[in-house]
Amino acid sequence: MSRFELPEIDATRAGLVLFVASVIFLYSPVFIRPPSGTFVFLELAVLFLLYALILIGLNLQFGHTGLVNFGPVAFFAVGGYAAAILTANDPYRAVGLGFAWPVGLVAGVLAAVALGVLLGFSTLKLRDDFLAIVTLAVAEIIQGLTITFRDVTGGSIGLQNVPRPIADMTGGGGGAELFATIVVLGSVCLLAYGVFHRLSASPYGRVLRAIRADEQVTETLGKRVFRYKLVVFIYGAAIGGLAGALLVFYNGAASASFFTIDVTVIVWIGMLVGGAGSDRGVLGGLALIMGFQLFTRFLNDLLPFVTQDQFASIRLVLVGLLLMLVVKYRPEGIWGTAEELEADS
Amino acid sequence: MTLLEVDGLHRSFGSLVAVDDVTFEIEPGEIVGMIGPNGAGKTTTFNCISGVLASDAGTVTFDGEDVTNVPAYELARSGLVRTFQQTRELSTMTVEANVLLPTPAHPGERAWHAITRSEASQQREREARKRAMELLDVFDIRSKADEYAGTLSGGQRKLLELARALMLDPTMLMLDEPFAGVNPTLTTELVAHLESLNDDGLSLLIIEHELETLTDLVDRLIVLTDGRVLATGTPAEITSNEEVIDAYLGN
Repeated sequence: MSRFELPEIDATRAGLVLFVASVIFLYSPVFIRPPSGTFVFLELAVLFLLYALILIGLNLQFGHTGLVNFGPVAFFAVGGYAAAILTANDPYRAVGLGFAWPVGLVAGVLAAVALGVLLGFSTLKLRDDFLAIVTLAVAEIIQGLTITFRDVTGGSIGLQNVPRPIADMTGGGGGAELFATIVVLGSVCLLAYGVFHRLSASPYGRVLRAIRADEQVTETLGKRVFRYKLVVFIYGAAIGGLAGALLVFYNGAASASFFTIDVTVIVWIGMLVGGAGSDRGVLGGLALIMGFQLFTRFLNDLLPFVTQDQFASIRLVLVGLLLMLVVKYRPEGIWGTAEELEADS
Repeated sequence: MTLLEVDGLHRSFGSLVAVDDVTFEIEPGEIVGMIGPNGAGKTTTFNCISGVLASDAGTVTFDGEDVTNVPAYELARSGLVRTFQQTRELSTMTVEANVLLPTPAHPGERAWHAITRSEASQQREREARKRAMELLDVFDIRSKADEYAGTLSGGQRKLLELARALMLDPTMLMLDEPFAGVNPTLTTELVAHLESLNDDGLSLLIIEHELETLTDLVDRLIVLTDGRVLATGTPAEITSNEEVIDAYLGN
């Protein structure tokens, strides 16, 4: 019932086909070298696809089930560091075990899942606002740990020499690896969207939305509410961890600066602007916010008397203003459904 | 065999004893009313029986099984379904989704079936939709199936809750003040629905304030005061019971 309807293509199947195609593309000697003027857009597109993965999980958690997870970056970070520590070869002043990248990928997801299980069991029985506080705090604690345990994580310098499987498999250089990364991540993202959308559009999703509306009623109508909340929390954790692992394999490094609270803020604002609970809408919202950030970066170039640091702060003000406008004039988000979110606009 | 057996149920909140040694039984096919002044412990008793609240002591046996403090979802699946005092329609979901939600043993509520869109799941959904439409027909709200439940009138919400509870094919319904805030016409309609459900074998336990509606409907009344069962008996016995008149009907 979203207002953001496109003709019904099955995203899960399309994602699978595209993923297979992108793997073939990687193994083939063919490469595409984009013009260097587009790099700034392509780099942002990679980041968009990684954040989109986090957001797909967050939207299932909050948009559909009503779980207020204010720490999606925690799972992103844990996934990223687990993958980096296991696979890095001789990192500068940090632990690197030198395993092959698939080991790191699996470990990244599992580490995030482990954190999800731990947090889920300990907080999902509490009231909603406790989950919000605990997840926010945990994200900050993990950020603190990654900086202070510098012998393991490399601190603020980070972990270098992490494998870059996509870049290694792509010949050509000069941005060809950037293009290949987008193709692979794009297909992973489409597949993840398809799978999560099938979940939310099914009777499974109906139970989730019932939990969001009234947990107690849902329980007395025969549904195991806690189990659903826990599982959904873990799904979100897993896909966040996957995104983290993919990030370090793209960058060839892990660093605390990739995993700041900014990630949480951007995906949350993207979700609220797009319309929580609308599977396509939230991705549209994320694209809007990230596009807006890029636009303001260009704006900065036109204003030489404002330093970059100053402008970063101004950008936050502008993003905040945008969010205020949406909350005031379209509280359900651009593509959200007011009746489903009990928003009176 | 007795359908519901509540024995020595006890629940306190700090120093306040809300339910104090409550014992009663309900036979299959009975309609029983539970009355008592505000704060007598009626709703707390309901909450303890239905697993919404843990009881401190006592046992609840339903259909031969000990169901003391089993989780609420298990009790609902085993055929004992309750409603709440305030109508609790899921206002952010459509009327149809509200009724479809309780569908028992739905494979589509498991992730793998949902992701693969399994035939078993689609089959169950078709059956459930058919049953849901029948129920919406019975309660005369089928025309509202695609509307959000939040747009329904107060009376329609009551009907929706009843339809939704029946989706679980219960053997017994526990209704917490189903006639509260309902106009006389709709009360008559609700009573007719409940009587017809009872004719089909559904047992009912109904909390109510207004004695008038209940005396015509129920076979027996249980009177609670201060968390204790003061008296049980037919409506005629209860309305002539001196103790009850003193404690509840008042002067």
